[in-house]
Formats: sequence, C-alpha cells, structure tokens
Amino acid sequence: MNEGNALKRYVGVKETILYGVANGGQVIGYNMIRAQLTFFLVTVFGVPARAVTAMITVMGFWDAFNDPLMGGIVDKTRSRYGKLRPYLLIVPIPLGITTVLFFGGAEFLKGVESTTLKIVYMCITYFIWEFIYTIGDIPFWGLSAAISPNPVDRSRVIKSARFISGIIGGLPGIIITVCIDLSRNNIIPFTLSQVFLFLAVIGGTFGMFLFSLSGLCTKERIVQVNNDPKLLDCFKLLFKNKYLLLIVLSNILGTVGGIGGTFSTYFYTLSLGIASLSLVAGIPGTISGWVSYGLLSNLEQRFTSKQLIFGCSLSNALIGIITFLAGMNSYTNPKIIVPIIAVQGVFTSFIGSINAVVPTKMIADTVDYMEWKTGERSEGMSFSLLTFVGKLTGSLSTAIATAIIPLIGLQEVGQDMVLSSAGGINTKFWMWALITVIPPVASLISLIPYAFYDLTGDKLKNIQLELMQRREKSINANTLEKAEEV
Amino acid sequence: MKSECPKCGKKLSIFYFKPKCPQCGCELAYYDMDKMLEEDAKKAEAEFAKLDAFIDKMTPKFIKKKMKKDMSDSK
Ligand SMILES: [Zn+2]
Repeated sequence: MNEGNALKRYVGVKETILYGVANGGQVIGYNMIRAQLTFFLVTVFGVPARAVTAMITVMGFWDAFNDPLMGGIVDKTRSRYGKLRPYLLIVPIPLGITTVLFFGGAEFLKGVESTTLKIVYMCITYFIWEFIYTIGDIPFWGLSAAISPNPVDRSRVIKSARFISGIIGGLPGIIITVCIDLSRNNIIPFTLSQVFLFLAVIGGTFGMFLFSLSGLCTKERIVQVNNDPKLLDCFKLLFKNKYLLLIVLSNILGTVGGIGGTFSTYFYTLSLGIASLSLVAGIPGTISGWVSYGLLSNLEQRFTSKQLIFGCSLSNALIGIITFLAGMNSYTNPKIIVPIIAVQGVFTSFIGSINAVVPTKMIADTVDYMEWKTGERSEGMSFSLLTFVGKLTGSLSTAIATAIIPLIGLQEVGQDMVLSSAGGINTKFWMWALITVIPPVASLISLIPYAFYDLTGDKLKNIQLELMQRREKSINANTLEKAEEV
Repeated sequence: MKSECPKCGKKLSIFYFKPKCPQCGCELAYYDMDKMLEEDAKKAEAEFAKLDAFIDKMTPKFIKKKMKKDMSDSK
C-alpha cells in the first residue's frame, strides 16, 4: 500500500526541519493579524467596527481573484533558483515591512483625529500585506510538491511544517494576550499601540528571517519542462485537473464541519459559566495532535491517502455521536462535561493532524497527475486553489454559524451573547449538539467526491514511476547535449 | 546558492535570477541535475541513518523488544 517506496529519498533531516521552522516564522505575523485584527483596529487604532467588517468582506472577494492570479504567475515563473524559490527569497523583506506598517499604524498616526485617514491607512496597509502574504504562501506550499519527486519526502516536510508552525505559531497569541493585560494594568509602561508596534517588529524581523530559510535552505528537485507557459493555459490546466477539483469540492462540502468553533465559546460561557475551562479541556488534545504527527508515517505505510480520509471522517462522526450521547443528560455540569470534551479532543486533534497533512499531500499527487497527463506542473495554481478555498470555507462557516445563532435562541445584546427567553427552545441542548455531533456528521457529505477519486494505490504509484523515467530521460538528453557541445 | 555557471564557469551575481547562463545559455537550474540528485540522495540517506541511530539510542529497551516482537509477528 505504500505509495512511494520505489523512489529514493532526497530531502535530508536538516532541510525537513528548516522547512518547518520557516513555516513557523511565516505564521507569526499571520496569526497576529488573524487573531488580533478586529481588536487592534477597533480598540487600539480607533477605526469604527463597521468599517473593519466592510474591509474584511471586500478582501474576501478580492482573494477569489488574487489567489489564482498569483498561482498562475508562479506557474509562469522560471529562474535559476527554480520557479517557487525566487518568491521565498524575496517576499520576506516586504512582508516584514508591511507587517510593521500595519500594526504600527496606531503609533505612526498618533494624534491623528481623522477617522477617514485611519480607514484609508488601514485599507492600504492591509491590502498590501494580504497581497504580499499570498505571493509568499502559494510558493511555500507549492514547494512541498516540488522539493522532491518522492511522496514520502513531501509528506515529511508537510508534517514538519504543520507541527513546528503549530508550536511557534501559538506563541504570538499567548504573548499578545499577556502583553495586553500587562499594559492595561499599567504593569509595563507602554501603551497598547506601542505594544502592537513592538510585537510587529519582532514578527516582521525574527519571523521573516525564519521564513526566508524556506528559500535559502531548500531545493526544487523537479524539472519544469515547459519554458514559457501562458497565463491563460495555466488557468485552463486547473479545470483539466479533475482530481484537484474533487478535493476542492469535498472541502467546500465539508464547510459545516467548521461551525463548532463559534458555538464552543458561547457554550463555555453560557452553559458551563466559565470561559477559561475551554483551555483546560483542550490540553490533552494538543498533546495527542503532536503524537499524531509522529505516528502518521506508520499509518501512511499501511493505508492510502483516500483510505485515511475516509477513516478520519467516519471516526470523527462516530466520536461526535458517542460524545453527544455521553453528555446528553448533563451538558450544563462542568465536572462531567469538561472531561468528556477533553476525551473527544484527544481523538479529534489526532484526526485533525492527519487532516492537516494528507489532503495537502494529495494536492501534490494531483500536480504529478497533471504533469503525467499534459507535461506541465501546476504547483502554483493547485495550491492557490487550496488556500483560496480555505479562506472561502472559513467565511462560509462563520456565515452559517451566524445564521444559526437566532434559530437556537441566542441573542446578541451589545457586545455580549445572551440566552433569549422567548420561544421555548432548549438553547443549551442545541449548543451541546452543535459542538459535538452536528458538524462531524453533517460534513460526512464531503466524502461523496472522494468516491470518484481513484488517484491512489497502484495507479498513483505507476504514474509517479513513469514520471520518474520520463524525467530521467530529459535529464539524460540534457547530458547528451552537453557531451555533443564539448 | 551557486555563484558561477556550472558549465562555463562564468561568475554570476546572486541577484542574477534568469534561468539561463548569459554566456553559454545552459539551463542553470537543471544542468548536471542527475549529479545533484544523486548527491542529495546520498546526503539524505546519511542524515537519516544518523537520526535512526540517535532514535535507537534514545528508545528504552522494553519498547525495542516489543517492536522486534511485532515485526516478527507480522512476518
Ligand atoms: Zn555558462
């Protein structure tokens, strides 16, 4: 069942680890932006909340064009460093600068009263930041497919990236929360705007130094045959890649799987009464998520990617059902519920780690498939579709969750969410169902596209072997040419 | 990060990004690629051998015994 043991390994231990460390550096700034965007813009910078929401919505639409466009440009690129690495070598510098410009806004525009000026500053810096981030993100993930022809190498660098960025990427959230508390209680003599500027400088220098390692310490090991592909052809290629489209369709169908997070916050505050309990319940899961990366190689030797995806979704649903039933009569009692959620977390985090690696690896398989079918590799386009769909399903699941809120008897009063007294709906019961059983069971429909996905097992192995022989031929042709010229 | 052309030896600035050598026109990224891949494979093999040896040293004896048993069972 092993999908790649006929090939040699090319990516050593050092390169594998550095690829992961680079991802860790990349997400420092990203996680700051994602986690603190609204808080920073509204509370620290003083931009009206409505303007922030409008900007985020518009940017969502922009991504729909921006991501595939960048993917196409990447696929057109040829340089002596490869087609992906040039971006990884250059992007960290402007990305670091824009991170500082964005979060430094409150400090740089200190004393400015004009809301319009602040909104303009916010839109311009955020737009440029997002734009440059995308130019770095797509080549980074594209590199996971081009770093080696061997799927085992690819899987290993993806695991390294997910694991290390999980650890490093979690730090800014903790540091920011602590710094905000320290500043608010006047324990450190800095204002919030100074704190954000300081953290942005760290994310923009240290983080970007780490990110640049992905360009400096790696290699692209697959020949990009076509020397001058047209942008339009790159787009066309996307629609010929049926396996990629099946993965994307499955991701979209699985959107409902992401709504649990929204309700989990409300569940802890309204049903259990203590928000910080979620941290306690999450600890065992965090550890099992890490263990999962270690055991995944074993699972990959025994099962195909498709089998792993089916196994993950089905067990997730089963665990959801069991958890729901186990807490059905005591979902307001923290003493019973917190341990139950912690146990569920152990399983779901374990599965979550597998889901963070296997589909990404499958995208690389589809890039191979396209090279086999058309002679062209589309790392840029394929991974841009993945990042775009990730953002799309993120916004969609938030929208679905927002639509469900009034249906189950939750009501927003000012900044807070409260239980509405009207209707006779058992809100707490529905919240329990929404954080345990509904998302994993509803997202089982995401398995339907995979029923048509047969780029696995022997078929995939044969394609990858044939590609290897083809590439060897083209390298040999290059050598012949070399001999003739001498 | 090679700073010269692998074929004709022309010195190249690190800011020279074009795919072909300005002097001899060879594909800078792919010239002698078979040799590069061969070297990388050897290097990776050596690094993983070292890592495996390290893991072997760090693994407690009872786990190793169990793993050996599992392996012979599956055969
Ligand atoms: Zn030359």
